[in-house]
Amino acid sequence: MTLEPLKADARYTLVAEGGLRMASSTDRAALAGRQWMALQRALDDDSASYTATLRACAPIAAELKPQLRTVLQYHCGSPMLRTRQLMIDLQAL
Amino acid sequence: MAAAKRIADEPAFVLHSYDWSESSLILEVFCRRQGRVALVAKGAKKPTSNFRPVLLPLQPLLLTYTLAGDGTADIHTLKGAEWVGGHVMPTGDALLSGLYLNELLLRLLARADAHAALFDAYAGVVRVLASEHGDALEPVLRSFELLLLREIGLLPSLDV
Repeated sequence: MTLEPLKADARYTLVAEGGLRMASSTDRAALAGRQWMALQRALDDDSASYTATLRACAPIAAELKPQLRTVLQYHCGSPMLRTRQLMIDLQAL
Repeated sequence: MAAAKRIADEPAFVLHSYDWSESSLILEVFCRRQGRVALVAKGAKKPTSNFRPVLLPLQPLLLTYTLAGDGTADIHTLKGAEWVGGHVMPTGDALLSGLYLNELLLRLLARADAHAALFDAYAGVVRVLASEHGDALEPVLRSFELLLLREIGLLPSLDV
């Protein structure tokens, strides 16, 4: 958010429209600057963006999930995605 | 009268279908060169329809359709659908994940906005979903979410 380069060892969390900001203790999930930078490099790989991104996602999938979900939900607007509601209902059975 | 313009053998996936009248369906499809398009499949609910066994979600298809109103209309008419094949229908968690991806595409992609690279990534993800590699599911879904956000310009830069 500050447009300063990431510090490799600091932890950052993704915010819709804003970008990355320093993680605080209240954030559900965050990743190290090094991991975000690796992800950006994979996305920039024009020749094999999909496989490169896949490889970069593999070790950090669990931490990415809540952060991407927040961003996607923000852009999808309300109501909640039907498939997500379905999953919650199934787990509640 | 000039013949209606035809889009032939377009690689596509069905994202969603709605009932329309007694015997027809309205489909939301994701085409490789045309983007997200709405099509009416006339007679697709009749037992004798050739469309009936083919128009399934998460299956690679080749679609042929004619453009209504010189391409300015919102819904076009499906003329032919062919199953490309290659994998089975995902089941269990993978099926639910596939439907989740379809819902994301339905909500986030604008009509007639082509994203060929995203289409290829989607086809790859669906192949993984159908291959029952349960452990690969999470990274595959996350990378598709990232690529989707990036393609439609909603992913902030991840290095500043």
